[in-house]
Amino acid sequence: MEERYKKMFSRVKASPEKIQEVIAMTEQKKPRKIVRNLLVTAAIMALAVLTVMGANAASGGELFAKIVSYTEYTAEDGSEVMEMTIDLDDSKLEGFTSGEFEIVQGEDGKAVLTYTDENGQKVSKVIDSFDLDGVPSEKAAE
Amino acid sequence: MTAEEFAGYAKRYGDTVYRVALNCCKNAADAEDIMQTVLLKLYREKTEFESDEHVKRWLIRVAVNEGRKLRSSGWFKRRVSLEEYAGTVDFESREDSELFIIVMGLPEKYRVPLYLYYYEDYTIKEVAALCRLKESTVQTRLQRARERVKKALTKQEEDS
Repeated sequence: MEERYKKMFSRVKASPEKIQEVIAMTEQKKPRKIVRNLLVTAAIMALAVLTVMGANAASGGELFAKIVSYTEYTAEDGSEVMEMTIDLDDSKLEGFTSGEFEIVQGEDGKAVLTYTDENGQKVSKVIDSFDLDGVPSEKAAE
Repeated sequence: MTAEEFAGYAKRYGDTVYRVALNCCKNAADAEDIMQTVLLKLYREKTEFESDEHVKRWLIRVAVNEGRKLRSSGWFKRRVSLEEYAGTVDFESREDSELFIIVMGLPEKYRVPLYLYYYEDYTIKEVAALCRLKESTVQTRLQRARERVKKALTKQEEDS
């Protein structure tokens, strides 16, 4: 009976979609992170690239940046806010002025810098060398 | 538990949890709900599991409890007949399908120990711990379950 019972019940399985459904529930994306109060010193620090998550600095990304100081907290609306000072290689920021800009987390976790150029156009560029997940505060000391 | 670890456990033990739940409630839709509930409980669980087997036994115990809760609540989803459900399972033979109907026709108190003993290869002592029963009770139930299945199979052969 044991063999027959095992053979029979081995065919009884849960729907793979139902299992995937519950896995998906645990993989929900984190709230988008918004960088505010970003102070950018436009010194070119192309050689002092901070790579987080093992990102390859020579991967051909848009921008390089180094985090000089960093703090994070949760705002009232639930968004995670980071305040940081970065040294940004602004040689690739065409038309960038000292006006307002923001950095948000893109779909793939990379930081996306958006600024308004001298023509009043919004420009977005991926900061390739770091993303906004898990940036430890001790990096600020580097 | 990380999402990655959880996904591994869900894929590895999801079927086990489903089968235990199905043996508890005899209804595929309820069994799937119980499976998802139990897996989500695992994700939120703070216990430090010692091994994969520890996780599996935890899942089985919780599935048995959830099955009992559902049965005592009296709240069941629309029932699909066992024959209908058996028709959706890819059994190797008609005899396997008939055995499934016979086994699932047993009282619930026999089905769960039978599954844990014959399919998951737990000992009587382990089945007793998982189902929170005395070992003697498990032994008796297994024996009665075997007798009933044998009787049903014999009758089936005579009828055919």
